[in-house]
Amino acid sequence: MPVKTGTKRWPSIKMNRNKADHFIPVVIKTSLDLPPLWGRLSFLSPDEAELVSHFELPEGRVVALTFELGRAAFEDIRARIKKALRDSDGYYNYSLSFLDPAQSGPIKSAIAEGSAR
Amino acid sequence: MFNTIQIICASEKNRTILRGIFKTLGADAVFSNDLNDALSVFEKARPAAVFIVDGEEPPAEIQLRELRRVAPFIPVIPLLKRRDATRAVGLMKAGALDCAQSPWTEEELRPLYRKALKLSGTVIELDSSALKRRRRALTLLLAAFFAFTGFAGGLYYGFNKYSPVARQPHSFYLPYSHPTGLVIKKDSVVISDWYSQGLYEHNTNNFGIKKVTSLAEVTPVAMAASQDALWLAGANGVIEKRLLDARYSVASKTAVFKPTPDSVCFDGLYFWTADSRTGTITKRMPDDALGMIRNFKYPGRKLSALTCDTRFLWVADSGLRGLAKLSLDDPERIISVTELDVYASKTLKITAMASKNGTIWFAGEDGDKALAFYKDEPK
Repeated sequence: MPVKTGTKRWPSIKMNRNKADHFIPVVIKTSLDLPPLWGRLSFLSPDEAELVSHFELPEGRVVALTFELGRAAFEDIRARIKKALRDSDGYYNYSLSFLDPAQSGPIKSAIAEGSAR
Repeated sequence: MFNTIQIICASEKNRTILRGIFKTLGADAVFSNDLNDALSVFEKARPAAVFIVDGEEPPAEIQLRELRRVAPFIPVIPLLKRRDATRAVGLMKAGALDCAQSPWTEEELRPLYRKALKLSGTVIELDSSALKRRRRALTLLLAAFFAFTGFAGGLYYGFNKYSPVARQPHSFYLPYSHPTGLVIKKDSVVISDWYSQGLYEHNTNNFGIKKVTSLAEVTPVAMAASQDALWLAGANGVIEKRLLDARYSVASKTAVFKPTPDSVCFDGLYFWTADSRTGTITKRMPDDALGMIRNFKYPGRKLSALTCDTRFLWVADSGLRGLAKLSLDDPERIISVTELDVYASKTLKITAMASKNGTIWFAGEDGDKALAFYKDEPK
């Protein structure tokens, strides 16, 4: 049950600017040694997500995401970057797949709760 | 692209850095010392985006709130003095489009600046993309229409120009072999055949047979017609006048003519007969007896067949290999001779003729076949 946190593509924010706040801000941890990065989730489902950020990350990299969805907060959700595409403005669109099924369960519940509301 | 941006920055050092960066990016940067200064020039500057330096007074959260109060949709981008993802996410939750990390460089700020300018696009830009899509679709539709029209026009033009013109045949082979007489009706051609003793009525266009009338008692050797009668010359020398009913009922018969005429015609006023063996043309009264008025000696070489209309006598002359035009008043004078290309066939023997509406019809034998054809009257 996917949730569109805004629209699927970052450029479409300009077409829904009044919904820009609805894109979920997310903290991106790439390594314990490096300070975290940030971006927004443009798409979220229990198994996959799409992330938009102006920070460059390589495909295949495992990242840990921290974000809030409704009343639920998720910390260090592990995901692998399946694909990375850079848009004409210099922003990166990342396609992510969540790695830990145990972490996907709470996301699913949060999405279901959000959808019910 | 509208490229005015507003930068709220109190530090002169940071201003210098940011001025250089945004100048390189092509932005028209308007600097304000603080939020109040920014709001006072906000209406006048009408920036596409606002960049606020984090860590100054008032806090970035308050600046965000106040700016969004004035312009709810304007992109606001805090410039962080260090990489702090938690703060960045906090500011983004507060309404910031994104946050730039320190150190501020052209490479770091370029995507945020470009995205902010695109985000500052008005609703008109949104609609314009839809309009562009519609315009593109319309353009494609028009292009397809004109391409199709051009193709169809070219095809039509090429077809008309280069395809061979369907010509109506001027010559027809007959399903019988011994035609002797020819009469032209409104939309049909009637041909008599001596061997099968019949009258064959053909469709003028395709020469298909429309009707066959058997002449059990007559062996026709010549035929002519007027508005209301048909004359059949028999092999016995008798010319029968028949009605134009379904069975061509006999109306009258002449006495036996010697020599037997093998061509007959009616010019509307007089009846004409011809004997190809002697080359004699006879002018007759159009009564039942077809009484002779005068004989004429055909002046050409070899009379094959004769016909007439209201102006001329026409003779197919196998000796001259052409069509001779004679005067009705003086048949012993040839007005003109026009070569007939059908005489290229040495076996052709023209046996019947008729003239109507400027067209001369011929029927004849060519070897073991018979044919009918027509030509425009010679000038």
